[in-house]
Amino acid sequence: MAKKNKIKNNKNIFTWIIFGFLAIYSISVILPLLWGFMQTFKDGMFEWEFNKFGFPQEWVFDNYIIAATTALRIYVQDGAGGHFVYTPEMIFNSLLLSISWTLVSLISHMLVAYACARFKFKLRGIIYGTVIVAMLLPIVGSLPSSIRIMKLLGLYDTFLGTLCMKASFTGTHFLVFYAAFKSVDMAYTEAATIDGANNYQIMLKIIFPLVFSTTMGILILSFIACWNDYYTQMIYLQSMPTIAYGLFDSQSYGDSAASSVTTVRLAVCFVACVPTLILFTLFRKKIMENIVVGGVK
Amino acid sequence: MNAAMKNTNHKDNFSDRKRKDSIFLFTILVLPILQFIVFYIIVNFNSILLAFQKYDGKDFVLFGTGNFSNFISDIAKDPTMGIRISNTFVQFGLSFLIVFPLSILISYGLWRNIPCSGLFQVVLYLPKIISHMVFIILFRVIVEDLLPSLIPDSDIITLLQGDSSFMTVLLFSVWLSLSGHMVLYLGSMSSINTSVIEYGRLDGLSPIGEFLHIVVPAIWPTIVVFTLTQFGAFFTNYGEFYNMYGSKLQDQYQTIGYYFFVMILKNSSEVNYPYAAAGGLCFTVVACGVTFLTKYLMEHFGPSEE
Repeated sequence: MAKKNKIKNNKNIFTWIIFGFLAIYSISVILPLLWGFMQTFKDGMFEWEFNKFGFPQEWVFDNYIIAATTALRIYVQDGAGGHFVYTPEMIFNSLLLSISWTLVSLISHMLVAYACARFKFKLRGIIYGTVIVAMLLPIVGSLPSSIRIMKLLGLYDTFLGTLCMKASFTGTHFLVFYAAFKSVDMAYTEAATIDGANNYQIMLKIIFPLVFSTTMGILILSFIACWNDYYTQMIYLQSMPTIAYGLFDSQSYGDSAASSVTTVRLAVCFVACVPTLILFTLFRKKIMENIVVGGVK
Repeated sequence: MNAAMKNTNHKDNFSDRKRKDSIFLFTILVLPILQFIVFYIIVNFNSILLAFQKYDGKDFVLFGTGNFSNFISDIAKDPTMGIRISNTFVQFGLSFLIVFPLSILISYGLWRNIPCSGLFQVVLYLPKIISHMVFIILFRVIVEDLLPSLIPDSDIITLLQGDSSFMTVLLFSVWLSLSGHMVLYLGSMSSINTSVIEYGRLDGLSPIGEFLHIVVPAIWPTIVVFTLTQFGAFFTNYGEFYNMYGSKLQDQYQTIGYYFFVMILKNSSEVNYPYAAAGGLCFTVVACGVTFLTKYLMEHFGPSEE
């Protein structure tokens, strides 16, 4: 848990410069979001053309109805030729992929970090070093090879293939979990062993619950990242477009309602934000206070 | 004899414990390690092999160092590649020289609990919570729809269409990525011992002095890690260009990372894979050298907490 700074801070010119900069930055973030949200209640075909700045003269909700139904449209090739995927299916794909990718990634990170933090074995140093090297070693140009290997394994453009890809244990989350597991006293494990618990019971019923706070923080952040990720789906899973990819397509290539009507496109943006904003609102403290890269030191 | 029996029992229990631990470790590690072998080791090994092949329309065949010759020739002679490389340097410079130190300074300000720091932290998190596509769409609507209607006779619409589009998108990327690492810098700063801060202030340390002599040494390992990731991403970073323009960005505004990314995605054929793999390998060699040299210099000559 991050400590709160209890020291009294005198205000000086440096403080006020940072305050001024952050105030301007905050306005530049909030104001466009509020303005965009207001536009979603205007009629996109008539009022939008002559009233792009003020409040809606007549509040309409049709943009959200279209946003949630037919605003996004992507043509997907399948065995029977192809079909159009609309917003509801994209939302379903987003939920399915975000939840499954998050769980697979979380489990992989937790298991490997747990093994390295709580056990002494020959591979421990190699695994930990591998994580550090993988983080620092800049591998450029592996995308073509990655696509080719996926195709050779028959995993390209498959849900299982993306699950396998996301089950990596390298990355900063490993270091966060490693630090969390390391901080749990070995006395818990010893006491449980004396009581007759096996390794699986110790891991699942004693140690994992003790790092629940860290787990929740990473789970929420991972879900949000997966929800907003469209590169993985665009490169490796075109047959399951997500709402994030639908948004990208609507402003680059698409011929959907979101592509042609600005207020509908903005409404889709806010529909796409709903899950992540709900999670952030509910778990703001957990997200903001629990992520410390203790392992970096 | 009892002692010998006890010793034997103890040894049996110990080896039984070790066996159970080994089985347990095997069961929880086998799949993650297999995943790493396939999706990291084999993928990168295949990338090296791919660099020495070419696609003849049906399959990949051996091509020697032809891809490397073509790539180096393009870098040396193609003026468009030169423009892409200079664009990459500009993008890196903005990110490393402005965003990077600014994020640390802002994190420091937040850590010092400037007025409204709680509100600022929430706002700074928003670009991490809300998809970048949402901000991009909002930005485009504002620049291409709202501002031209408010300022009718201006050329403001060309911010995203003309010669100024490169800097416009770069500055937009800077604005969007400002909060990216603040979370982790704040986390590192939160572990600084408050008594050290108090001693510093009793000794008359100014905020700048506190920042340079206490905070920076304390978070130096975090700074090292993120500096190295910046260098590592030099050749792959395409900022918000692909998000903004898809594959339609004109050559003179592209970066190296964008060019190679679109090369792979644009065509469904695998004909460009070997060339991209060879280029990637060359970039990897350069990036590795720079990254490890930077790591050595920062760890040996950087400030220490002591």
